[in-house]
Amino acid sequence: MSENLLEIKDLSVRYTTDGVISRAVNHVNLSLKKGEVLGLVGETGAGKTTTALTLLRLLPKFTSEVEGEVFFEGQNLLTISEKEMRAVRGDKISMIFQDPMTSLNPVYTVGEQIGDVIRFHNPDLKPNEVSDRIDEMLKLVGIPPQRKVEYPHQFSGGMKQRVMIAIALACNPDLLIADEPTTALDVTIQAQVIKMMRNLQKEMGTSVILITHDLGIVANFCDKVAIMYGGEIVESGTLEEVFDKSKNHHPYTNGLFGSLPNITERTSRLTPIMGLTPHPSELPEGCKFHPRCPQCMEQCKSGENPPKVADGGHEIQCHLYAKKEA
Amino acid sequence: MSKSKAPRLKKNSQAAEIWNSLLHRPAAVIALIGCAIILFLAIFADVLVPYSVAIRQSGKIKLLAPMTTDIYGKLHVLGTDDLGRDLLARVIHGARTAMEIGVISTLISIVISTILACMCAMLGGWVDNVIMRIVDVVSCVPGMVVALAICAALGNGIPQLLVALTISSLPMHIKMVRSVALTVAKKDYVESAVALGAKPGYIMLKHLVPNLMSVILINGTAQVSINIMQGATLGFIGLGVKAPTPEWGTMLAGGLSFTLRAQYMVVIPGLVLCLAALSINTLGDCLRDAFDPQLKGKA
Amino acid sequence: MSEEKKVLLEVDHLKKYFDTPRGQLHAVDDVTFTIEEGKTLGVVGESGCGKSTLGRTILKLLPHSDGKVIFNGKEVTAATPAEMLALRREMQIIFQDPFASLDPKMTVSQIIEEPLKIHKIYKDKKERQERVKELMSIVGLDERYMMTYPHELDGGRRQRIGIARALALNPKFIICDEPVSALDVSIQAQVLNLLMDLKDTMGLTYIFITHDLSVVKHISDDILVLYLGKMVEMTDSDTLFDEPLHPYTKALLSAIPIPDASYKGKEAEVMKGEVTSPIEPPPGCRFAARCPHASEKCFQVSPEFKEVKPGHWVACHLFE
Repeated sequence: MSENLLEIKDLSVRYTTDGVISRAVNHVNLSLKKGEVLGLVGETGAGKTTTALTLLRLLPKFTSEVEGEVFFEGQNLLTISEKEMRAVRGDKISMIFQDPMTSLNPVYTVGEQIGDVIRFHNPDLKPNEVSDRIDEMLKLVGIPPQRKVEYPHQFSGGMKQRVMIAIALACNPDLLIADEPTTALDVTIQAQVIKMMRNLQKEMGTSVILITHDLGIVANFCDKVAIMYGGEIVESGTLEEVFDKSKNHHPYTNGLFGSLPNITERTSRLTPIMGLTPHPSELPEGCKFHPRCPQCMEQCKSGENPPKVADGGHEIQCHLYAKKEA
Repeated sequence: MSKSKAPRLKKNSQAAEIWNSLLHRPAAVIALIGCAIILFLAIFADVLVPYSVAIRQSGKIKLLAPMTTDIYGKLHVLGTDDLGRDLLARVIHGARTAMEIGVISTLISIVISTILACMCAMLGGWVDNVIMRIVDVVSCVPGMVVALAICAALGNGIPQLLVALTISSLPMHIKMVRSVALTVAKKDYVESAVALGAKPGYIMLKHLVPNLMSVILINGTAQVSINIMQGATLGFIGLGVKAPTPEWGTMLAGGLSFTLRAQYMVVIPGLVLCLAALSINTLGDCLRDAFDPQLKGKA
Repeated sequence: MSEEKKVLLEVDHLKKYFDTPRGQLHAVDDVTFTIEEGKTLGVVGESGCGKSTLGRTILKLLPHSDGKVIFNGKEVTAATPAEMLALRREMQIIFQDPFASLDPKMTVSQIIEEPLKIHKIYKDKKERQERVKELMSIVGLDERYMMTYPHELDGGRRQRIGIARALALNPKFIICDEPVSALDVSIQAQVLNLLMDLKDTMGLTYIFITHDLSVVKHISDDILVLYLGKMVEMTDSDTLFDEPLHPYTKALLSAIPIPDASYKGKEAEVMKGEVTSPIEPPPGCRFAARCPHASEKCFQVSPEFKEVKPGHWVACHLFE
């Protein structure tokens, strides 16, 4: 084993609502080594959050259907019992959600909420040990420990997100999933939080899956990048590979970069991707991106998914490059 | 989120969606049938049985048990009361009285409360303050007591009862509708209409009311059943409608002294009242469920 | 062209205070600027800096506390309801959240038609419908969506409806209040391009309110940076990005994550502290508490907003 902490093999998730089937995640393969930071990039409906929730088995039971395997430290998370799963959640894998305003319970103090997680997973700790740990966690995320007796509404958005991070890291997890952790924050606060997360990640050696739509944050923070579209990973590789403009890329990746207003140079017009992101209930045949693709070819429009073309660790799922090789 | 259904050139009515969703719930279908029967009885009461039958008294045929044939050879399916009136006819015409009381009082109070609540939400300031303080004062006294006092002051009769029930149900309605109207009034689309130069009256009519419809309908349905029960309660203690008018509450009170000899005189109006309230309430609950996905997604 | 361009909008010492239980909130404090016809002013700041309040106060959607707004020679802040109705035809707003700014009970066609109805522009329904179709094609919406409800459409299309509605009365001036921040990146670019095209073809003047500096660079001629209701820096777009003067502007610029692998792990200059609230603000510069260059003076005297270089205005004691 190449010491992969997390290995996702051929993961698919379908939701059924009112008889409509949404294929939220389709045949996703991912792996993550210890201490690595993976950026999962995509737009609304690309399946980023569903993938993350599957890892924690937090999907709604009755409306979702999961296929594939998720190995975490050699254990298939999709087959273990709910009790074993509870031991994993919060202790080995923890998650930070997008909206810090609603993720904290307004009726408990910040300290109590951090203490709860610690007690769940370490029932033998004495109250003063728990209290010490809470202080330690707050200091770690840059909040004075005396503020632990305050309630969430007394904290600003950035501070609340710090508290969420403290809760997530309280049990020293091996894997942290951060779902758009800074989207709700102001730029200057975002910069503070990202800097803090990066330092903590280095210090604690935690692996991180960072879900975001912001390529800037990815460039700042991640080692590996996976770009999702229509529930599939269309391109993945190291940060340098995916962000290197001289390399071949999936047309969607090119489109994403073209859509970004660039502050380092002045351009008069952006080059957006035409069309709209498809709803997971009506994904097109063939390559999911073909209706919006400027380089669409006949073979993209039907049949199976395009082949994955790998150049070392850099994988692109597109007919364009398969053809060149042949 | 981006549900790009096949676009239509025809407007699909949101009412139809609600209706469809209702038809998919068994409880709702049963409640709808119940309400339809009451409505049918109320509307076609005169066709089914002439009103005169419901109030015709006869000493010779009093206290006949259900399903007995009287000396004139007429079958009384639900029997007769202590004055010899046919109970089935009285139940049918009682449905009309109940509907008159329940529906009309609710309609009046809904119209008034919606106008007042929208004024509170749109104009705010002292208008809101004055209206809400009056509402506070009225709601200090329980609705039933308000209705009792008004009925006692104005005397018996359907119009008096309507006034009493309308006034007693107003405060709650105003509070409920206002709370939703306040959130709707803060929406960007209301501000956008202001930016276009729309006047407050226009915004109330075109933006507030349509978006309040779900709340109004749900509360209104519940109110119909509450008002029927209150009307019956007032009738039961002798404050409701005038004497010969067939009314379920009065019928119940009339049967009370014959509980031992003729149980059916209590059981029948009681049961009818119960079933009517149950089906209307169930319909209200189902309406709430049917509206709910919309309330969550859009309001 | 040496000729002076015509000034379309003049905002003169505009103030907007709110009374809160904890004291007076200075949401917009003494803001002064002018916009020439056909230009775009970007207004940038973090949450709580008063940028949305500024937009709404200019349009008189909120009553102002002090100062003046003059649009095309008419004083908006002193307009009677009848004058205001006429002015509203010229000044419009596009909202941030395309999910909240459209009435869920109206069809797309009714939404776009509404301004025409309010101002009774067309007498007969057919002409009105024609105009609705025209507007839909201008903003790139297919005619077949006329009878759908907004919730059936995605964010990008909904924002196009909002734009069509704002354009219905042929306004001269539009305030865009974070029009793309609720949209996905690829859709954002489409809507930004649309807004830029409309500006050119219809000769519009914009105030473009946003928290995202990278968006504003593209679309604005001039940029105004606000902090806690106060003007911090104003200059043309290029100068602001190339040579920002105010420490806050510098911090804002350095906080933007740049999508380039060479920036990996690079320690950007991270500004300390949080945005406080402008309730009963103490004297002195409002940014002083977070400013790396703050001196004694900054906590006592409020810096004056003045032109330090031609066309470059800053409120900071460093440049006096």
